[in-house]
Amino acid sequence: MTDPGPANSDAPAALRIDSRRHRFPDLRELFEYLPLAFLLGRRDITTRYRQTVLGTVWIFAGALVTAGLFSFVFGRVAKLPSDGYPYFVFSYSGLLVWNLYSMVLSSTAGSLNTNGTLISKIYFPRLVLPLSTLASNLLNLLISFGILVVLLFVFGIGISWHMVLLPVWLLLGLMLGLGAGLILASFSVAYRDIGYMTPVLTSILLYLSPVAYSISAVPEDLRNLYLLNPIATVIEGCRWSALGRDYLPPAWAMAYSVVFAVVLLIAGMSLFAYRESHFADVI
Amino acid sequence: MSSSTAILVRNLTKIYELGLSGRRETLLKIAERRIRHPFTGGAEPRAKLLALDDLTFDVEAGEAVGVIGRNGAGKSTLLKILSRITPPTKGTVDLRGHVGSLLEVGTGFHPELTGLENVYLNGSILGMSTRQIDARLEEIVDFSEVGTFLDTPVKRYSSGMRVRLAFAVAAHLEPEVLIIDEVLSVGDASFQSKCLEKMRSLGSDDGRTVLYVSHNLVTVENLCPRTLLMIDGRLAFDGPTSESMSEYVRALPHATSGGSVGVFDLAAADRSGTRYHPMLQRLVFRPERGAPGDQVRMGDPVQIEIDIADLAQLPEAMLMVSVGSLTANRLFRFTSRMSPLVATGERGTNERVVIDVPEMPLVPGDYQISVSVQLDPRQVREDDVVVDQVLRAAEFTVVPADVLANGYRFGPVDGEFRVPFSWELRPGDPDPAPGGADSSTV
Repeated sequence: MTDPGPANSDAPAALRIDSRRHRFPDLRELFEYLPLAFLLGRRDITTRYRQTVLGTVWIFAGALVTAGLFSFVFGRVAKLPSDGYPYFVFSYSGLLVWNLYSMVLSSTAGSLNTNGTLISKIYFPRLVLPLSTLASNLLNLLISFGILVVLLFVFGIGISWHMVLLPVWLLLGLMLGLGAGLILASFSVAYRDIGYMTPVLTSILLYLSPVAYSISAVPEDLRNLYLLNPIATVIEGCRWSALGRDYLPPAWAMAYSVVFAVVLLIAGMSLFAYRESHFADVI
Repeated sequence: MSSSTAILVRNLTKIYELGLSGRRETLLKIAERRIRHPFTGGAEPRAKLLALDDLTFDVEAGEAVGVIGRNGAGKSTLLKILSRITPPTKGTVDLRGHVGSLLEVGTGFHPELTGLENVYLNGSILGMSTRQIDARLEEIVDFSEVGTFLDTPVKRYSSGMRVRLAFAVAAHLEPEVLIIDEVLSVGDASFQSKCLEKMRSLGSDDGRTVLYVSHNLVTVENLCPRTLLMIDGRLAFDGPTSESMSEYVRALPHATSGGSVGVFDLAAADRSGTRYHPMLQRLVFRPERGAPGDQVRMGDPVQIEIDIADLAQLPEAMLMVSVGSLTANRLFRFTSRMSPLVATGERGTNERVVIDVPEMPLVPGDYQISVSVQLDPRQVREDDVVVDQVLRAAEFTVVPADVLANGYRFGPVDGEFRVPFSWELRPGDPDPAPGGADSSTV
């Protein structure tokens, strides 16, 4: 009232609060809050392994045990084909991207309910919570990748130029996990069924994906249908890079997976943005 | 919007659909509903709660504004909307400047992390950058008084230390608009007054806008010249704090309106031990020795009546009435050992004890009364000492008043009681120590 003159250009930006819902996350604001995501991620990592004896060993023990189990059950007992590669390293290379996908999916989906008090007491872009879970998953990935390299030399496979494209497959796996996880997270606050549903769906999808077996075990006439599962293409692509082998899914399947991942991620983010303002009322 | 307006609220309305949070629906239930009621979707009309009803007000930059009202009046909802935790159902808020809100201290503290790690985490949750925290770290640690335990996990802290550290982080936030919800009620008395001092300086420094929500009238009065009074989700009054407070006290339900305020049924009260013999029947709190009520002005007389059944059958029984703060520590008590009570009635009848307090000495705040009937511990077994006991039998509020008739308002910084005193200046030593002569200020 004291200064009815022209608007001061130095005045801090006005922020409007109303009942409108957002169609897409405010990326600039999200960027400002990235340090918080980083700190929350670091909190998850440091608290998880505090007061454990083996500490970070637990990160890769899981993947090694699963690969060993797959080698025994599917390689030895069921004798599924691994296209000439040692079964252990064959399934491990598939698990690399599968674990990334499934861990990102489940931790993203659960990230809101585990941080309920933060949501009901403090404002920050809610997307920070799912993003913060990426920190520990990326650390896992890094360690798992180190073990993969060791395994490749132990089994005398070595590293081929295909490896250059590995980050692309991993990125696709990450986008699929994050996109699906955000959709589940958006509903997880109101419907706690999501928390029970996620592991069930993930384990179904595990068997519908070429993790424990090669895609060559899938009957020819079903293969196109099989490849509608985008993560199948990503896993075989990851294997192509990691093992330096010749099989690559058909071009249409790869294009389809990329489009699928991009659309899923955008859909996940915009659904999340649409629902996020009401999380605090329901949690 | 004038360029000096920091908060502009227009027609702000919030409707909660009850049951939305209490009962989370499973997908199965929803599917079942859709099948049974294919056209309407089958959603039962939910009970709605109008938490905020068409609020409109402005806050100028640099103003400190209080918000008062009873529980459920919508204070917290208003804060949550202003802090962007929950969206309004209708209406708008325009905020100019960065907003920081303290709805609860210590949110996001992780027990496994050390004090130092929590300072950084909590600081960034509240919107500070790492660089800002670096710059203020020393101040924060000093303020919190937890210095040597900074590298200890917070789970090993006492609750007092945890709260002090949390408040220290929060108090060093420096946004242009600060929204505070009753965070002052933390820690022991000395830390509370330190917090209050800090809040006051936060408000007066460099034109920061402060919105302070509380039902502690004294702190509001200390911090804010202007106060909004909320009743049932509406903005009932907006003006100078002293007027808002009189409106508030006027709007409180009186004994004449409800008939039950200030009257506490002890016969039906929850007794912690089942072996008690329920002798205590009723407690009536009479401010100014008049009609029952639960609000008394500081310095006013009070009468407390307690009805006891069949006191005559236990002529040696002792009555004990203790008054404490809501956090349950005893401030003072009356017992029949201090002033003997002799049962005069016949067996099987009720007796009424009337306690007269000529002047309420407690500073404004919320208090509770516990009552018990006991036998002499030297004469009976330990288990039989307490015949009947009702903890928190009654609650009452002391409201501010001009006790000294000079405009001074007592508050938590003055301690818990007012002790009457007088002092005067007399000629000192002919050769005073330097600086020791003038001690007229307190």
